[in-house]
Amino acid sequence: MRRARTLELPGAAAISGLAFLVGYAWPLAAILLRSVNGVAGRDGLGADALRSALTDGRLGRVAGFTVGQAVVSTALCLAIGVPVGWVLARLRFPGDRIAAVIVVAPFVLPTLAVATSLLALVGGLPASRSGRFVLIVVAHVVFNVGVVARATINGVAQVDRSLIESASIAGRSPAAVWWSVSRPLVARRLAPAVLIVFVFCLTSFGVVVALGGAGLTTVEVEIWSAATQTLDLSRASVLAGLQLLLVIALVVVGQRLAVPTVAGTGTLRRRPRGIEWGAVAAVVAVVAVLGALPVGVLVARSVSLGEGAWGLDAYRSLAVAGSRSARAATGSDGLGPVVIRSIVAAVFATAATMVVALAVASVASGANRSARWVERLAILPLATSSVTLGLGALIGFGTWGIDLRGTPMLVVLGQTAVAVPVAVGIVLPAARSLDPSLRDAAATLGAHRRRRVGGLALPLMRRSLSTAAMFAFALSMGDFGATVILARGDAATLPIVIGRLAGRPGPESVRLASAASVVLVLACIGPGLTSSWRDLHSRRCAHGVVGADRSATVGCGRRESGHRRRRRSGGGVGRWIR
Amino acid sequence: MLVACGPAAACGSNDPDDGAGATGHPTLTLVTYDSFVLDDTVKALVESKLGIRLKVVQRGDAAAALSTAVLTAGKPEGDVFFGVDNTLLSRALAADVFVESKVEVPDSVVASLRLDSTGRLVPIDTAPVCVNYDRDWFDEHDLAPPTSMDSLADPAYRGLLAIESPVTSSPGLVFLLGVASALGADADAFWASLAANDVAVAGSWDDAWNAMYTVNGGDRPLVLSYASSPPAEVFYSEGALSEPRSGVIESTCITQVEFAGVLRGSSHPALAARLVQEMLGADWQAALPLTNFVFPARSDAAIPEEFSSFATVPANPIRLDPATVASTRDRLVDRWRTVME
Repeated sequence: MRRARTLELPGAAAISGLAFLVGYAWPLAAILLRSVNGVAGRDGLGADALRSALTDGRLGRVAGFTVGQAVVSTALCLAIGVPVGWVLARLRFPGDRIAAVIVVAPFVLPTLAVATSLLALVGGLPASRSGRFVLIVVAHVVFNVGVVARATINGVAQVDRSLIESASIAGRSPAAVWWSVSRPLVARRLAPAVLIVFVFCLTSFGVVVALGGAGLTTVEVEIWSAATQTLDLSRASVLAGLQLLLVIALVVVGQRLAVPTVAGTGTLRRRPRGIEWGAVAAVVAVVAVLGALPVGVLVARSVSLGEGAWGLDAYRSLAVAGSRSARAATGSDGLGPVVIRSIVAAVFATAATMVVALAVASVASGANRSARWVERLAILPLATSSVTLGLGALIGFGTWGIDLRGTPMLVVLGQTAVAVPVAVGIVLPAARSLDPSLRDAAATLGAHRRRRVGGLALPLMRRSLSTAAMFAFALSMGDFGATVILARGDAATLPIVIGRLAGRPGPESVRLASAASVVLVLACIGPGLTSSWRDLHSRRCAHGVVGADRSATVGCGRRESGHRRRRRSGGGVGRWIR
Repeated sequence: MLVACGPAAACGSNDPDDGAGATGHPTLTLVTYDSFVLDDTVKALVESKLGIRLKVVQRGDAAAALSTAVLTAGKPEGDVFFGVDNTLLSRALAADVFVESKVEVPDSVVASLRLDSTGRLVPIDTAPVCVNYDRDWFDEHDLAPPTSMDSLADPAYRGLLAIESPVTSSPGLVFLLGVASALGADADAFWASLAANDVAVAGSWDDAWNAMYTVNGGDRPLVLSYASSPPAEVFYSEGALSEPRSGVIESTCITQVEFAGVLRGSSHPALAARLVQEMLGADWQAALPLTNFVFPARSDAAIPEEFSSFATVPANPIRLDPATVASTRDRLVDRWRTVME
């Protein structure tokens, strides 16, 4: 049966289609088309290029390293994230809500800022490959452990108290109840989150570029290097295609694993007893390290002048391009124009992202087959590396009649393509959980569509929309992969400036990179922090269900009617993040 | 289009596309690699002579800067590009990035530097890429430094050498092609034994010289750098050193030549050509040794004594044949990555 959309936006299908073509399909097609003929004397894409890319022996090593570091990173995220999430979900202690917010905070930190903070912590790029490998894994854990912790919290919240009670009444020991009831329920909830963390680690770019040094590359970095350094577009196409196929396969598996969202009974949380206080202390320690360390190290390194001296020299130097390193990184006008440029681009990208995300969510909020397809297509760019998206935009909008190269529009386009899938993942579940009976009632009472959307649907989705906008802004602001390819050399954004500084040895570069990272972190998470804080204070009504699936919750009171409680929620990332 | 723009003339200030700054002078943009340094005095001289404001845009290492120029060919990020070297010359010419500029190359630029017969890329400087060694380290360890390319792979020097990757660094690429040119069929075996000898591969010259070299606190007393690195050491020590701590292994020296050209699509092609001409002018050429530590392309350019007294001029450097470079470069890089990464 064809169901009407719960979110009725005019022109949604047209906007979604156009966005997919312009931001994704055409750029990817353009890379393929351009590589067919070869560039600057390089061989074109053909059987030979395919064979040499697949059989030169490097691919195996690079792919091996790529998968290996992703497996290790994901395993560590699980090992740390699950216990942390479990404690936060089951025990009530002072500061638990703040801890639940802080634990995911690193996820919105720009990759280069975290990489810089690790470099600052160990005093520069380690010479050994194993040292660099460890740094890459640590950075990935810092980013993603919160995603696992959140999913665990959500999973535990889904475990119905009555199940546990009945199992206990049946005489099972607490351990047996945990093993036979809670564990499988949480594991099913966790599987998609693990998958998404794995994909993030697999396609991570900024971290590996900054911390991998020479010779330690992933497929993603290899695509960038082939495209921008050796100008081997055929190789870049082949690798991008392979990576796309692998990630699509993973996303499909992930959608199969997605389980129905059930409104949990919540409030299984209680005060810790005896030894449990030890677990709480450990969690607080982990959360404090995750939340405070990256930014703390950056702040400390940016003001430390060595030998116990402190000062704001690095910030001053960046502001006025006062030293050679600073000038080389920011250009002769200093950091001011860079910050303004970054914010303006991110604001435009956020606006574009929200328009597209709303349109996609509207089309996909109908529960028919085409809605399912729209949702899948919207997630595709997540499966495509930001480097590939950027390269595609540069080639696709640089020839064949349309030439946007050198315009800021191209940067906005690239950042939008990077941010849309994440925003859709947050907005779509909210759109789906809108109650159709409310819409129908409003229509019966004579409200026109505009009124039903503007006066009813959007206000109900307000919280998800602001979360999505915050994520879109942070992602656009912090994007390195697409922006580094699309921005003009004299129109660098903050992450590009950090990338330039992080690539230079010496204490001054580390200090400047740290200072620029502090500025970037402030710009990125400023809006997020404000909204989390507001959230924290307005969540009293959520009755202690820390991290209940916020995006699927309409407002504060849960107005979900019985038959809608078992609805499949979207397969987007939003659920795993929030 | 802007054609004639004399010194101090208020050029086309009504045209929004001419990049005219507040002074009314058009802005010319020089696109180059990260480590290029423009002398402030020379910049001011050229600006007033051409009636322009000169902006420098730095675009990563030399290969990345050129790749960007290729991907933005026809709609460039600037007017003049500096930093195509003799290893990437054929790529730049094949990609149709530059236009013919009718720059007059003075007679004092020797024929071996004029590698582009199409008149698009003009030689500006030359610098031999050579393995440097830490004199004190070799003294203290009672070891004689290597004397030839071959001997770098000698087990006596195991774990001592740092080079740059040919993928991300132009001296690295020069070295790869130089090894191929000097050793021919034995090059593959050389790389295999270098790998077995625990050579360290840095991503950039900066990384190799400043982070890996023993002189600067690293643990490798042999590093791939330039014949001009010793004078640079003395110069940057600001009086702390009266003579360099590094020596140059002459038999490893390979000639690198750097070119400049007018980017296709520049909105000021005539002015851009004049800027390239200025790069061959006496002021620009004379400033090169102590800013970029390279030899001016003009043999009649004044070379400061601080430079000439410590810079090695290799008697018989390895010269790269442009045709061989063009036909083998990409294949050699691919093979190198297979062996070394």
